[in-house]
Amino acid sequence: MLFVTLPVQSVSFDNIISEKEISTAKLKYGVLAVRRIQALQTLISENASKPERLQVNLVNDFFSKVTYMEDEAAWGQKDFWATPAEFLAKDKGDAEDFAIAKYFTLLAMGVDEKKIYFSYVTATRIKRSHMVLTYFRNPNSEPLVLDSLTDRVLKASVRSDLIPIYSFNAQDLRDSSQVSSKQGFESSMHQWGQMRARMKQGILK
Amino acid sequence: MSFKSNILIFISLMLVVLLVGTFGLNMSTTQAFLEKQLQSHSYDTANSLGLSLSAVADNPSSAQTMIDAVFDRGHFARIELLDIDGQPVYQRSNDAISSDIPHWFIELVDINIAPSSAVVQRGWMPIGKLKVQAHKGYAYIELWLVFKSLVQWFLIAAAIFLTSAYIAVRLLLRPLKRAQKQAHAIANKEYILQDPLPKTTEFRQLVNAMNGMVTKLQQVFTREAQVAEKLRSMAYQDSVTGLYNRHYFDMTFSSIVDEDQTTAQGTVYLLRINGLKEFNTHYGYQLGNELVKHLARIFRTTLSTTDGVYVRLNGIELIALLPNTKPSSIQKNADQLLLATKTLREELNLEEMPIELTAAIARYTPNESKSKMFSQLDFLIQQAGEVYNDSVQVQREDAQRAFNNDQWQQLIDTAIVERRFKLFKQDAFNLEKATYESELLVRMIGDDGKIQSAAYFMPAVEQLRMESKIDQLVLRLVTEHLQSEQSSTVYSINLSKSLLLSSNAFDQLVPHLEQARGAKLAFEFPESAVYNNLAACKNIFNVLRQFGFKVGIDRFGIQVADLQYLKTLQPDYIKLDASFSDQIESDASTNSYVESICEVASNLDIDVFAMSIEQEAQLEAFKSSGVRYFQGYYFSTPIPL
Repeated sequence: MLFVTLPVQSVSFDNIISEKEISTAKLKYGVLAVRRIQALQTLISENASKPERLQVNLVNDFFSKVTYMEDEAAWGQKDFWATPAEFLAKDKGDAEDFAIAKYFTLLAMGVDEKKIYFSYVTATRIKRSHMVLTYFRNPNSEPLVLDSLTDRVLKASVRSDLIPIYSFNAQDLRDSSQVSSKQGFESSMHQWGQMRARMKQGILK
Repeated sequence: MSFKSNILIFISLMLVVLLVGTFGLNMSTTQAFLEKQLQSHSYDTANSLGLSLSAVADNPSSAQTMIDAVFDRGHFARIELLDIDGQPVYQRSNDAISSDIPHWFIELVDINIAPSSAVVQRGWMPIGKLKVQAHKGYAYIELWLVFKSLVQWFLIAAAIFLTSAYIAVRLLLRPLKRAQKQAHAIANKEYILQDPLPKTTEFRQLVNAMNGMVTKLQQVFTREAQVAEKLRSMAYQDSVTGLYNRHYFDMTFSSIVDEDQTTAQGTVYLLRINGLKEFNTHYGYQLGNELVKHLARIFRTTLSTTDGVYVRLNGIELIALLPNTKPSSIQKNADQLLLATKTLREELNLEEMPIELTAAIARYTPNESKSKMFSQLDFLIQQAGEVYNDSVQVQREDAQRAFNNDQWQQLIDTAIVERRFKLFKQDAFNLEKATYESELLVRMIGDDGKIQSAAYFMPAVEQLRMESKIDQLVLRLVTEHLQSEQSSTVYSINLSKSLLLSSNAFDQLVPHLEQARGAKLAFEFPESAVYNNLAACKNIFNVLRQFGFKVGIDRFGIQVADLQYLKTLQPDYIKLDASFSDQIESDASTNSYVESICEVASNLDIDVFAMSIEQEAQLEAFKSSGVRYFQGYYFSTPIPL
């Protein structure tokens, strides 16, 4: 119980899952959903000062317990980017949802956002477009791939089954939207924007 | 400031607020839309170009070509390729904004487009960053076009709106203007009613009130005029026949035969109804009255001449004064009149007619004595009664006195050529006994050097239709006099009635009036002539007023019963008939009649003159009746001008 009450006041926790989201999750998805969220909060608070390499493995392991499922089946929508709270509450999600949840968790643990990229890749084995999260220890080092298709964190060179196509960094997305003088740009633009807006407003679908 | 301009300013202000508000909203919406549009343009280009560059990451020259191609073909302010450390690798930029857009507009409108960035990668490795910023110029061009068309549209809208507002306000306020006109008209003694009533409630009430007031005032005026009429008929009319009564005859006789009047000579006709007493006993008074009434009508129509005066002297005698006629010319009518008994017997359905008519015809001359004339007539009528088969007795012509027309013509023409017509003046005074105006009288110096009054030559002048010549002559004389001698008093001039009868005669007088323009002159016509030619008189009065002259009516109050025509003509003054002076101090009904004339006149801002005042008592009586201006021998006699 100590972990439930205290960490809520921490800034990094607020960024991922707010009290409002938790109470909505309890109503919509039940006590188990709240437990999963509390587990995530415990993970973050307990490992905030651990080495990054360990954090990456812990986070990957934590989310590998969530079931992979296409948006259509999980959310009844063809393409839906879930917030970490929605992802955990539903306990289901596709590649983007995994990547997003891992990304925000790593950030909450203190990893510099410049080191983490979202990457569009082609998965040759399943012959389809796919999204993974890549972690760069430094700008020139070989990245680690956090992939929902496997439980293991592997070096990029080992993942010959993935062809990297294009990457983006959350910072780039923010640059384009926040400088704009007009409101509502981010939220209306794309899936990323809508997801961020829900996070900020504490909306849980 | 007027109510109208206040309203218009208020409407304009509202309009400006409305338009500026709409304008601002429209501009900012457009601007926001354009900014969003360009932002997403930057974002999309950054993404797609970043993706393309990732594909050729091994070949820097190809990357540059791609950037060039995208930059040249699109609207971009900046496309920048940075390496992973943030150092620029390649960059294209264009900040120029189309010269069509004024500088102040760019200063005024701040368009803000942030650069969008995307990652360029080789394999798994990000190797650089792409920054793309769309060009503001496009937004400025669009906004400038919108701005221009908005300004145009708003100017047109403002013009249309203000014009219609102006017209609407004018239309709405029209009843107010009309009410103003009504009020002014009342000051000029005109009574205008507004119709139709305005639709606006407040103005309808105002107009109703105005109309009510105008109607009331008009009623007051009409009532006063009616009172005057009633007083007059009570005082001077015979109730049975409608002819004048003895009272009137006595009063007017001396003014009719006054030597300065054109009526001073003519024929007098006396008709006696013999046997009326028997008739009344036989048939009763009612039928007797009926008979006299019919006789009076026939009497009047048969003898009808201009300026004729018809009087029932007593129960059985009717008398007519017919100015400027000769007994011989009347004789035929007189004979005809005696046959009236026969027609009347038929008309009244009587078995027998005990009435016998006798008549006497005599001449009267200037300053004729009334008693002398009556004894003459008595004598003649007695003769007519005795000589049964000649019921009309005519006074023998005084052959010695009479000129024929040719002789008169020559006499007058010579007098004009030899300048023997002279002007005299008689002053009129106000209450302070200061000279108010002078009436001009025309006299002729005869062959024998004797000064002759108008009564001497005017009948002949009228007979020869030379009145307008005399009018012109008088006007010429007064103009000549005023050129040699300045005068501060107004000279009033009697115009002949021929001017009212033919517009040609007046046209001939106009050049002479033109010459006298600016002089202090007043012109007057006798009332009987004015009343019978109201339209012509109104025209002439208008012309005279345009020349700056005053206009008036002479010999007022006796001939015409209806005073309402004063409202139509609006003369500057009226001169009461001289006959009022004989009666004013003794006769109460004359006194109240004069009083009511003064009342009506003062309502119309008309000056009233009393004439032929000879005694202090007359003056006092006129003063107490409300007359303010006086003329007569009591004050001054006519003197040469």
